[in-house]
Amino acid sequence: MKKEENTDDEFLKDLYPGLFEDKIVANAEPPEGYFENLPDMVMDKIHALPEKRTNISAKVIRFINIRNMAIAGTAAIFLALIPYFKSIFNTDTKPTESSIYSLYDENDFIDPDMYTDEADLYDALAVEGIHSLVNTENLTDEEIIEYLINEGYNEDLFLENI
Amino acid sequence: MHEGESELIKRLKQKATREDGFRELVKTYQEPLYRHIRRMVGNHQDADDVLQNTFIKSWRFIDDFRADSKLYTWLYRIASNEALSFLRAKKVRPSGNVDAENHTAPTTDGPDSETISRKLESALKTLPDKQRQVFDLKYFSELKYEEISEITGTSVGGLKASYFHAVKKIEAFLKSD
Repeated sequence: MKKEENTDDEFLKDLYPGLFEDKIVANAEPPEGYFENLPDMVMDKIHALPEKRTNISAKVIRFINIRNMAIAGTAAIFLALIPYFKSIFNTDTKPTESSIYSLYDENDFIDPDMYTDEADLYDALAVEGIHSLVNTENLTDEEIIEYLINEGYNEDLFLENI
Repeated sequence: MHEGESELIKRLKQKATREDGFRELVKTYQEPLYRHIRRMVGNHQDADDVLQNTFIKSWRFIDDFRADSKLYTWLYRIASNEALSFLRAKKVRPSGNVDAENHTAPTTDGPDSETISRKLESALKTLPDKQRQVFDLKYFSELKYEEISEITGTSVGGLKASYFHAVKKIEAFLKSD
């Protein structure tokens, strides 16, 4: 490379002798004493510089570099998804069709299939204290209407049909 | 210089010896850097400002200096960039008039040497900033193309082209009257 540079210099000397035959030194002298005083002037300016403040955010950012942020982000996503994964893999909490059976206390519900005979059903109702429904043969219309009204039905509906 | 430079770098990197080391750095490089900046910006006042800014910047970023490049290359890079930034901010190419504060010194023996020097200085001021920078680093500072490439970030081929163009222009200017 040095050889190449020498070749370039020779080439330029031939081409532009005015510049390269006698090297011209540009006039660039400073005032007297300038270089003696410059180091002190520079150090004075350096001492006058404000102290470096510790930029906490820059330190934090430097600490939490991209790799750390990626790891933290992945961990956060994983933790957030744990309940979802849990619900998928837990068969006990698998959603099922709503069941009418779940709405009632087992003592309130009388399963008709438990009884094979209508009479048995009536007996069972009797045990529950629903006497008036046991003996329907003796019920008069007035008793039925009275019962329904007591249960909260609108009497106009019945009177209209009678 | 390599051994001296590595010792200086060690002192600059240690807090206890940093200030002494930096004073030595300023004393060692102030003249070549001043002349380079002076030829870039054209007058002493501006050169003084740019040079001091160069040293202050180098103090602030001394911890970032990696010893994979030479210290003076690093300093030249800062100085060149500061000079170019200064010229960009000024947005004025230095005038062709010779600096009034110019302290001339005999260059070569002969009655025309001072005239030629002044003419050369005027010619430099007609060059674009970056071309002037390359010419200065090659012709006056006598750096190698590889070193200039480190300083300017331009390829060696680009630098050669830039230098040849600068030389051609200056030669034409010197021949004109």
